[in-house]
Amino acid sequence: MTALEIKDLSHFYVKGKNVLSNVSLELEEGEILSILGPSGCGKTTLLRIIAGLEKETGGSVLMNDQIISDHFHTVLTENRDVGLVVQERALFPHLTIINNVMFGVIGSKSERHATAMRLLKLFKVERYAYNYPNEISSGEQQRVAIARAMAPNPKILLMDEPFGTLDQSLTNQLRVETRKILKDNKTTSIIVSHDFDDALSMSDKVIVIEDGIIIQSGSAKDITHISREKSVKFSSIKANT
Amino acid sequence: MRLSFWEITPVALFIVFIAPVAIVLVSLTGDYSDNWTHLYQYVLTRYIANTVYLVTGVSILVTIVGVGTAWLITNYNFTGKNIFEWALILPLAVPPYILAYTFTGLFDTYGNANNLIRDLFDLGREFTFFPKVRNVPGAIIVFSFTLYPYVYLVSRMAFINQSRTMLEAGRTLGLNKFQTFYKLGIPMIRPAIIGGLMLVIMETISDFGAVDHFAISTFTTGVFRTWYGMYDIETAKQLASLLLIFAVTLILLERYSRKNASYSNAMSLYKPLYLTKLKGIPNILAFAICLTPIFIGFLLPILELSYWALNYKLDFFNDKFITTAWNTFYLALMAAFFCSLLAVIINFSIRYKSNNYLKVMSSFLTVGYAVPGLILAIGVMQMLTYFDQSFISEISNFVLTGSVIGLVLAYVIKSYALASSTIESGYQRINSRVDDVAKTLKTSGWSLLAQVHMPLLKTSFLTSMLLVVSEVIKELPATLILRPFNFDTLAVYTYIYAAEERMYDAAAPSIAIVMVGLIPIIILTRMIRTSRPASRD
Repeated sequence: MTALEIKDLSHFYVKGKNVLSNVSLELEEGEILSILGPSGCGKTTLLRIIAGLEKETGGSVLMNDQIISDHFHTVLTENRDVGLVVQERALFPHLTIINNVMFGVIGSKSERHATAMRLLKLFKVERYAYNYPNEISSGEQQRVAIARAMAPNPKILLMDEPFGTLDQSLTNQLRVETRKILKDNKTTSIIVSHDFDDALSMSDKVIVIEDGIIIQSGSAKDITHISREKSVKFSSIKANT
Repeated sequence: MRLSFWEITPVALFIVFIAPVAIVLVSLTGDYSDNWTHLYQYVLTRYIANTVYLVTGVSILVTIVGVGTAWLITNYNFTGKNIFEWALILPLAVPPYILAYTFTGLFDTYGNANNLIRDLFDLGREFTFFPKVRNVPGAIIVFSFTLYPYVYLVSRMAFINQSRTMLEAGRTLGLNKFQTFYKLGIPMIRPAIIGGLMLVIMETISDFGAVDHFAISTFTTGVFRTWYGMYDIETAKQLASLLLIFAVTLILLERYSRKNASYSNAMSLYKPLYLTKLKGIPNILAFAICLTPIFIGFLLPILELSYWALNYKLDFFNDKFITTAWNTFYLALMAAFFCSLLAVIINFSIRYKSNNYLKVMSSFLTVGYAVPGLILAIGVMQMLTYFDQSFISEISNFVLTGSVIGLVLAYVIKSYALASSTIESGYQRINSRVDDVAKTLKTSGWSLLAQVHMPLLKTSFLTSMLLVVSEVIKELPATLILRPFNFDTLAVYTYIYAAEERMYDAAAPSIAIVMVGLIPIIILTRMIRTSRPASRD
């Protein structure tokens, strides 16, 4: 079943300067997609449009074959059933870890608690359940942020540069663990990154965006055969950002 | 298109906030009575001349005192510097009218200061040592030494943020220390000084208590006399409109003067200033320069008020004082709560809806701070009278007019800018990605505000309430006009006793006002301490 379909999506902030142009993609249930590209290429905007945090200026977004955003309708973010993980983690500083993870879960208190604890165990941070976010390390905060986003069992999990601020060894470890958890839970996910390694080690599918246009798409394996010309160009942009 | 609560509320509030000001201004298009002709022919020139004289004198003196002390504190180490750093803000707790009362108590012909000199040197009763203070120069001193902290605060913050490299560049180009101060230090912080000066001018032109006590004819006393002496509200409004136009012109001039100014040191790498240690005469001079404004603006009135209160053998602590204090505090708390709540709702609306129209509209909501309390009170009273006559008159006469509703409304409009800037800075500390994540967790609108923002804004909300409370407690002209019959606040209590020259009775409420006024000063001091520090000696 198609979990997400994007048709001819365009977006601009200033008329005549498109951030995204005619972007189309499909994502099957349980698949992990990485969106790659240099800073400012429009990948985060695409993620925000899928989340409903921004309204596209053209095209449409469908989830499970239902239109959630086009020229005529917009389903509000809170009704889209998506989870979001951001680079800054954005944990609620006034809530304990367990309360952060329970925040979006619906049900009785014991059910919500059980769901949250299960995820915290999955991400190996259950011992910090009653600590506050500022009392744990950034790697642990990132695990909690992913756990919190997964807790309400969203149809799609959106991750914007999820490992952007972590050191390399921690990033490698988290990539492996997160992919396993996402796959075990059959969570359809989109990861936005400027890091090729994130894309290659975590995803089933990869698209590469440059200047708001999809310049390559395919399986992670296919992307490793990215044309030399594009690869060099992208690397040089990466090095400058 | 269906508008939500978050879009309707700012618009509704905009109408309520602007209406009183508009009501006053509309009077200019009406008929002009004989009283206006009388005012125009005989007293208007005096009102203008006195107001301009007062504003000019105060502006010069506060700039010298405020900028001079800020430069000393930021660049030098001298005896008492760590105390002066925060103590220089203390006079802000003393409203000008209270310093005016203590000044007359001290320096009038038979005031305590003159009596002391006569006793010390065994001089006759006709001998007067101190010059008369009930005049414009006396008022200039009163306003300057209570209001200079506005200039001190902004100059100090601006000096702290000045990078050492720029001043060092000046020194290498041949400037001595004093030249560095007035050729580089001051010009670089000019926008900050003008900003602080604007606050001082606004406070000066909107004051009623001090100029009334000194019997100086200014616009505010003129409006009062026209209304309560000639019973001519229309002419009073027309006179108030001129004052309002003057205030708005000043604001526009200030905005215009800042328009193209770019004084930030963003281009240069910030390096904190080195403090120079002063010894000998420079050390004594710096000590004296910083002590003088604190002495005149804070210690002197506190000593005089304490002397009066002790002479009264603490008899002031009676039922009337307690009732008045209670009236003041519940009114202030009510206004502070509503003001802070509205500031939260409006700032949340702007953030939640990301709408530029809301942003522009909300900037108009802060206009009340620049409108003298007197004008606001006239506008609010007229607005409530209109509502009473149009909608409520069939049930009862004057339900809203002369009720605490009018007072609270005027306080909220007047203090909204304070509350809004506090809440806004609280919001700046909450990452907008928190909102994005909360929305994906099915939290929006009220639940986002209640469950996520309010717990994070708790400190800002309390700070905003404290600032508004201290502002409301000091407010005199609006309270005098809008208070319900037989309803006194501490400021009114002080004013009435001072007007009757019953200074001993005025002492206790004055001390209470000063004590409450100290609260925001403590908050400010903490903020300054946590700001960017200067470096080692």
